[in-house]
Amino acid sequence: MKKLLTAAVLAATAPLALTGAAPAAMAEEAAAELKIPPPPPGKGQVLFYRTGGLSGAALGCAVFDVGAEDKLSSLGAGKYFILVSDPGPRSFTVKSLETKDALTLEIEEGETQFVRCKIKTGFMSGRADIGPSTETEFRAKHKNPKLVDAEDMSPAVKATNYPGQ
Amino acid sequence: MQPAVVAAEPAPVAAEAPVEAAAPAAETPAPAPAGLLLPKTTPLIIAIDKELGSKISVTGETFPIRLVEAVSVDGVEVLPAGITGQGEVVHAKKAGLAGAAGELVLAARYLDLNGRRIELRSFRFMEAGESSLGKGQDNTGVSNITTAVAGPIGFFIGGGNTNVLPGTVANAKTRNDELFELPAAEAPAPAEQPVQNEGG
Repeated sequence: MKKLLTAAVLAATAPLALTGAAPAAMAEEAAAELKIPPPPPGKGQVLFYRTGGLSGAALGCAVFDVGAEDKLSSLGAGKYFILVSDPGPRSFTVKSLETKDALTLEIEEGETQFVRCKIKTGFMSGRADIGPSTETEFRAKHKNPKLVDAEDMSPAVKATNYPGQ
Repeated sequence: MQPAVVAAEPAPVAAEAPVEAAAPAAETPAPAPAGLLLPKTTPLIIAIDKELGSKISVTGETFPIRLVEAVSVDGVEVLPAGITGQGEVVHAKKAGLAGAAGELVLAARYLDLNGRRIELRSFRFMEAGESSLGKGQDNTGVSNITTAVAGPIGFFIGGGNTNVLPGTVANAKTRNDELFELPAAEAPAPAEQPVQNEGG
């Protein structure tokens, strides 16, 4: 019985203890509020997220740098990922069958910005839409944020979100 | 358009003084500090002096800004209230069909101090309920058709098109360390004191 209790306590606290070591990847395991790590020195970062919901739930929200062919990542419903970037303006686009949407941000050193993706109802299929957001909005809409799976990330994004893998 | 004037090596000002003072045969008193250092990321209060909007503004458009509250270092005013500068519309998107929100992302670029460009960063509107340097002037002059979210890093987004009226107040920070000359009659400044925003 004592062993069982010890195991239960360890199982409950281990994710919290590991959060500091690999914040983004491990935080999704923690029941506690997601802790967003600061960007590396000299860099800024953007947290992309997609709210859950039935609308377009089966569709991914693929995020690209404008003009790039390879996606940065693809957001499923209720998922998020963090992109570390050099400071300065940077433009992103999301594509869906019917349309594409773009957003330019001014990335600032040492700061985290938030971008949300929505899949809106379209004529034939969902329409991906990205827009600027806030941490307040992210936390309000993302009670249980989950990190995008590693295989849905570009190598650079994966390195940020799954360090050591 | 004048080039940015940035102190070449602003940081070591205070640190180097003792080293030089300890130099051999220092007959004269320790050299006076080179000036007043306004550190990078010093918060400023900025007003937008032009109407902007997700429908009427275009990406890349510039707009005038103004320093609302003077900034002092060691009791010496280095950035007087009222100096002007420039901001830029980083992203503008009209409201679309089916409730697509209008989006407006703004950035503060610089303030002009007698031809010297003080570069800015981190243009930021205040979120509802956030305490800030704006001291209650949170987003005065912002109007839109529906509820607006005025968020960090200078953006507005609303259910309809969003307008920013002249006089809207926001925060920005200095991008670089800025070194200012001491006034002629000013005694050497003490080691280092926090920067203050005057007024309000």
